Amino acid sequence: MTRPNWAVLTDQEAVQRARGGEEAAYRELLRRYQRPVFSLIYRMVRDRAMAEDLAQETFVKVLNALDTYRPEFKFSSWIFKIANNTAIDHLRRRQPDTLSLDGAPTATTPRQIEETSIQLPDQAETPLQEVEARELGSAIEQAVGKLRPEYRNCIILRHIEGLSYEDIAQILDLPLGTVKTYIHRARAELKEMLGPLRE
Amino acid sequence: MTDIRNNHPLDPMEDQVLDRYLASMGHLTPGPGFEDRVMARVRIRAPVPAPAPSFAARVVRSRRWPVLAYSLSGAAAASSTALTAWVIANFESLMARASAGVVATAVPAWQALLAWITTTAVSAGSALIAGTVPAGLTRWIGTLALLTLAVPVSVIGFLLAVRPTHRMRSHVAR
Repeated sequence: MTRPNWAVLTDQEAVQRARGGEEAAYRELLRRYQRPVFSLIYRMVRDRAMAEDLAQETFVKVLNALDTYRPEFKFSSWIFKIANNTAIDHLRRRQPDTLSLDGAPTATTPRQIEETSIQLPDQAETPLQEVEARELGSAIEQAVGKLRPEYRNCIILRHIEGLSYEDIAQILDLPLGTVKTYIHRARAELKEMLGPLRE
Repeated sequence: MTDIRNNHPLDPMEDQVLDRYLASMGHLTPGPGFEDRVMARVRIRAPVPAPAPSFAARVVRSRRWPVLAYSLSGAAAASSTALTAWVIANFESLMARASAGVVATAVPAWQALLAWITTTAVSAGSALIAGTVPAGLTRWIGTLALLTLAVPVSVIGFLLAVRPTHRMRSHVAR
C-alpha cells in the first residue's frame, strides 16, 4: 500500500484507510482531533485529569467503532457528538463543580492543583503583555465556565471549533432555532460578565 | 458620564471584541503520552490484503494489451469473413437442407398436435357431463362460492400476518 501525504487526506479518506487496517491512519485521526476534543471536554468538566480520561474514552469509542461511521456525515460532527455525550454522561453521574482555573475543586495539594489546572496559551511578547494576556484569558475562561452547560457547549462549538449552527444542532441534538437562541443569550451573558469590552 | 455602549447587548463594536476574545481561547493540549495511551486501547483491524489482480488488470499492467487486443480483433474479423464466404458459397445446398429439415419435423408435429386436441376435447366434455349430472348443480355452485370467498379471506390473513408488530426506533450512538 502506498504511503499517503496525510496532510492532504480528508477525514473520510483517513477513516477509509483506518478501516483497511492502517495504524498510521488511526494515529492521524487522533492527532487531528485530540486537542479539539480535549478542549471541549475540559471546558465541560473543568478537571484536567478527568478531561483526559474522558477524551481517552471518547477516542477509544470512536476508533473502535469506525465501521459504524457513515461517510455522508462530517467526521468532526460524529466525534464531537460522542465527546459531548461522554462528558454529559459523566456530569450526570456527578454534580457539576464551579470553574477553577487554579485546578480542580477536588485538588487539595499543590501538586494536584498544578496537575489539574488549565494551561492557557501564551501568545504575549513582553512580560507585561504576558500578564495581561493571562488575566484576559483567565477572565474569558471564567466567564465561559459560568455559563449554563448548554450555552457553554454552543459557544465553544461555535466560536472555538468554528462549527456551523446546523452542525451544532446535529451534535447537541437540538433544534436549529434553539441553538441560535442559546448562542445569542450566551453572548449577552458573556458581555455582561466581562464588563466594558475594551480593545 | 456613563458609557451607554456597555448596556446595549447588540452593540456591533462589542460583538467584534467579544468574537476576538472568544477566538483567543484556542485549544488546550492533553498531557504527554495521551496518543499512546489511547492507541494501547484501540483494536486495529488486520490489514486487508490487496486483492489478486484480475487477468485483464495483469494484461493492462504488463503493457502487452495492445498486442492482445489486436490479435483478438484480427482473429474475430478473419473467422467471421471465412464463415460469411463459406455460407455464400454453399447457400443453395444449405437452404435445401434447411427446407428438408423443416418439412421432416414440423409437419408431423403439427399433425400430432391436431390429433391430441381432437381426442382431449371429446373426452374432457364427456367427463364434465358425466360429473355434473349425478352431483347436481347445487354442489357445483357451493364449491364455486367457497372458492370465491377463499380469495379475499386469504388476502386479509396475509396482510395481518405481514403487518409489523412494533415500530423501530432510531438509535443514537452515545
